[in-house]
Amino acid sequence: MFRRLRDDDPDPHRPGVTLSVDGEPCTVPSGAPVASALLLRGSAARISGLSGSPRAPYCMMGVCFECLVEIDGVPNVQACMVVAEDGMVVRCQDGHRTAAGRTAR
Amino acid sequence: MSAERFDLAIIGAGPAGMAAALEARRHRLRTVVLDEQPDPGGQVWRNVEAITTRRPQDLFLFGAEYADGFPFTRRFRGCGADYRPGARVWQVEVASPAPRSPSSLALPAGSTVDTGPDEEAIHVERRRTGADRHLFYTDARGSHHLAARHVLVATGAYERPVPLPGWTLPGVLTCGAAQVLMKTAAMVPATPLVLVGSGPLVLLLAVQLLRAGVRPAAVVGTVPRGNWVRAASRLLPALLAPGYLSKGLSLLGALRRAGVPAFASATDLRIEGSARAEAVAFRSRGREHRIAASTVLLHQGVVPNGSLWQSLGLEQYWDGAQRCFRPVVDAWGNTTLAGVLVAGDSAGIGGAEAALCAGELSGLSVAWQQRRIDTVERDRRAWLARRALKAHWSVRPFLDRLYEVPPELRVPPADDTIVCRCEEVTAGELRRLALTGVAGPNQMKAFSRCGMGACQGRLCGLTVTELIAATQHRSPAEVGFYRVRAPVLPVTVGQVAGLDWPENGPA
Repeated sequence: MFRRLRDDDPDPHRPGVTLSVDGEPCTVPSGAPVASALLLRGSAARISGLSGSPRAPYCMMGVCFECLVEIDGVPNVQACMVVAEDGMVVRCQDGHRTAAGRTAR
Repeated sequence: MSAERFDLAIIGAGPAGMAAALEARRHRLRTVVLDEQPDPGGQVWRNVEAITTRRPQDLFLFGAEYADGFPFTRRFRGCGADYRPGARVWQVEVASPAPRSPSSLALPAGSTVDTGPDEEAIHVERRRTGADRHLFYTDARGSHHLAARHVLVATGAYERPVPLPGWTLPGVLTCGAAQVLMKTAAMVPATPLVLVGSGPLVLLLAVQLLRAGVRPAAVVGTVPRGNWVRAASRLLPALLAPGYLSKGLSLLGALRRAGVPAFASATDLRIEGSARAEAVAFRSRGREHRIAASTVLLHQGVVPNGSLWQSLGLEQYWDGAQRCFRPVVDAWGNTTLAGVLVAGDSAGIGGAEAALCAGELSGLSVAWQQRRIDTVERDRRAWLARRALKAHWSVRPFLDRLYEVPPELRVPPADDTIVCRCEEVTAGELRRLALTGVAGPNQMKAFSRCGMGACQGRLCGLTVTELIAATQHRSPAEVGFYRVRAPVLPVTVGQVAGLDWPENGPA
């Protein structure tokens, strides 16, 4: 869905940060929101718990709540409102949550 | 533990919030500014500090007006206001919850205000001490509470929802979203790319993308031909507004020269795809088109980000030209609720330059109300800002009419179009309920769950109002909007329980 503007780091003094998205490493520029990693990856950010339809970031400014993900174990965080940090563990939310905390469809 | 106290609490560090803070600090008001982004500038100057200092090679992408934001954010940071980034306000509470009677106000009939309401429409008391307003917010460290004698809501705008078939597919974003990604993440949309919609931002973004070496497969315009006719009658005052039209023409010229395929007056819009966007289909000048696209960027102008002021229950009105609800404010931004002001796009779309003026005027009014300056000094200082504000607003009647959202995007004609993205409620279900006679948006919410999801009605509210109005042959003003209640953002029980709240409750 999105790609890097250029191949080298936009800021040579601040290398990109690498976070894990569903177990895969993803590197984004320093200061970029977590949602940018989801768009770089190009797949859905979450699966709707109602219809099972895939959703991805839409507004990028905290309004639409389409980019809700689990960040470092905290569920339902707006990925567009959190600045990515090295070592962050991001998990996409697949379907609705059960009482046990697992996700199910 | 007692609450922190301020003379003025400003919510939002965009043009309006920053200008208000600068003015308030000029009169030594103890000022706090809460903003949900990590850096000041709002959406228009998003990340301008980092780009200017660390990615200067990218400044040319965004143009001179974007670069102008940097000296302004520098002045803001140095003005002595207590600036708190990453702070999301979820509730504002006033000591006396009963708002002043709307009947005493000069409410604009027909509800089209081009230059702002009458200065004296709202009676404002001047006193050195007054009841506190309470703010509740969350940041990375937890949830907090503070008190202030005046509150200025400067929460800006967000892009109008564009409910068309397929708009929930991954790969469909707003034009503003693409701009945020360019500014904060140095990322650009993957091609094939199609821009769909109307408004100054579509042109601006298309040109910015071309500068970045990204060539859209098409720009699909949605301005109905009738809009041109209605806008033409407002062209003359628009010509007096500083630079807007020449800017628009030069963007159009750049787009033409680049040879980007452009379609006009598109209707029957839909985005096709199963797991993600694959194509945009539409009808233009009597012909069907289908253009392959992995990324689709939508835009239909912006509307006030009003959740906070709406949650306060202050008087609002339907602006028939901007097709949105606006708070009733006087020429200084004072609302019908004592001690609460609204400035900038959050009070009605006037753009960044107008927001700078409005913020300055609100700062002056608060300084005057708290007796830091007398009436003569207030009016002397307000003169220039007021004149500039008027000039910037003079282009709006033209822009509002030209870019008025087309009927099919106000009320989706196809029954299976999703209106409420969170709860996946379709236009067909809403129409069926509207025909059974639901009284308004709140009953619609109770019957359908529309607006009950995480976004709290931000992306369906205006569509629900318009759909009920169109189906029941009523005016949007009469139908009204959802009753917005605090907390205006989802907060956890833990965040509420963890508040640094004074032991004996609010003072």
